[in-house]
Amino acid sequence: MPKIWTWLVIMLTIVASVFSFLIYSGKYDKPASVYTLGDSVSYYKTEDNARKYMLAGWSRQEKGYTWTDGNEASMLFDVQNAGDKNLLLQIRAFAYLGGGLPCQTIDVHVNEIKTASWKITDEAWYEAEIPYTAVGDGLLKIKFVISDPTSPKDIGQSTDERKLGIAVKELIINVID
Amino acid sequence: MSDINERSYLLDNLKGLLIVFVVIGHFFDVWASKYFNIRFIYTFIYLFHMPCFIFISGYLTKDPEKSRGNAFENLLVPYIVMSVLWKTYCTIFSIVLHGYSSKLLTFSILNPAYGLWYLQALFIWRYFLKDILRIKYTLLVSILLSLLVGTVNEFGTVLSMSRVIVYLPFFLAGYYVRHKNYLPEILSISKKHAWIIVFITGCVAFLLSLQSNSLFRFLFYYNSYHLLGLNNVVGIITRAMTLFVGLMMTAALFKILPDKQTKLVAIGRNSMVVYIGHFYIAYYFHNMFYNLTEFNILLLGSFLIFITILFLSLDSISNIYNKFINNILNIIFIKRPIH
Repeated sequence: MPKIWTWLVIMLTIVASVFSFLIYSGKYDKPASVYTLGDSVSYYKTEDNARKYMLAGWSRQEKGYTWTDGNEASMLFDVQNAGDKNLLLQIRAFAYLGGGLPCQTIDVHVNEIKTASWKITDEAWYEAEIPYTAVGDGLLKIKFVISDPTSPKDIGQSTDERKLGIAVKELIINVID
Repeated sequence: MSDINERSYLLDNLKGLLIVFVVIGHFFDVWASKYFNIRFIYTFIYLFHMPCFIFISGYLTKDPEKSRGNAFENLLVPYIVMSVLWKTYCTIFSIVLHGYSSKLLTFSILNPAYGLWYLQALFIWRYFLKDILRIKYTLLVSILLSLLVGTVNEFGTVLSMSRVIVYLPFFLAGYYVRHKNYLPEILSISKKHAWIIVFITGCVAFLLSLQSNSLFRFLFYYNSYHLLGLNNVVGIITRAMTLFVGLMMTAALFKILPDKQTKLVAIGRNSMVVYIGHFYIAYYFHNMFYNLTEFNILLLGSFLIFITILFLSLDSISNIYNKFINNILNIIFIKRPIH
């Protein structure tokens, strides 16, 4: 019987080695970045601190904003000390309304729970309440589902092939109380 | 030691040590993403303390029929009562500290607050154990489900469903070890091997806490792989490895801890009250001392942990808790069944 334990300990050593390999190969490189409630996240090129929270669906930073590119754009935040708190998500943004679109409808999903639907036109602050049940242990995956991403090239406006939805300038997550 | 009897020192020592780890984990949890040393301690503890605790819970489940009969009184009612008490405490604390609170408005009985998920999960395991045991290859199926549940976003904290499924293999393993009498096999591990396992687990904890400030969240077992920023294959491999580490540490602790009277025995025998009571002091600690330096957090935290455990493991405190719960049971039930 003790021989089995020798093998099991060898297996455990292999497990530790696989962990080292996964870490070294960058498989764990995209954990959520820590976000302190109330901090302003800027999408400006000059003072960008948004990139570390971005997952898929974002274009490059431009001078005063960052465009979403495609049908979805998501971000991941590690919100410290968020347990049991209802939160408020605010973004300052405007929409790409090429081709005569009246507005862009943005469905906001937090940890796969739909929390709001915005009709975005001109630059303004848009808000969504995040119930504490969606906050979980503070890991927030925020996803914008964009109704009509449009490429300026498709409507003959420019050679820009990106599927633009909304341009985000600033984002803040705060406690509602 | 050839067998573990009803009131075994070994089991009480194990429960005592594990509940100390539970308290340490909860006292320091809000700083785990902020400070490396705390993150290392936290990750080390979370690699094995709940798998081992749940294994012991399975081991102590003697009769599935009787467990089902007792589950409402022993687990569900205390869970509901403690959830209400906890929310009330947080509300009062918030009002005193900040002048307002929305805590009661956000009360959800299905979504366990803080560490109370364990009572909810234990209720589900014990209530459904009889049915679970009827499934063919139940342990193998439970292991597969444990790995696959992370691929689905819907399983989260509601009814502790993710954790119920992830930890089910440990509960079943504990149950089978008792009923198939496998304990001598576990105890055949040498002390040298056991300490090597502890050392390797420490190395894994070091690697994981060094890598990022939030990878320890993987060990909470209620976020999907996707939500943690991992693809499903890496998620399944990682979960299989962390659960294996938990299993090995369980075996190691069974060997390392003595089967004789120690200070841990009293803590282990009153582990329920230590478990339920420590949240209140930990919450106070988090709110009043959040901005301390890491050294001061560790210093003050260790002192408070010591005092908390010492106080809550007193037999007199357990008696008060038991009387309180019994009174509530007498109010709720027409006539308590005699077991």
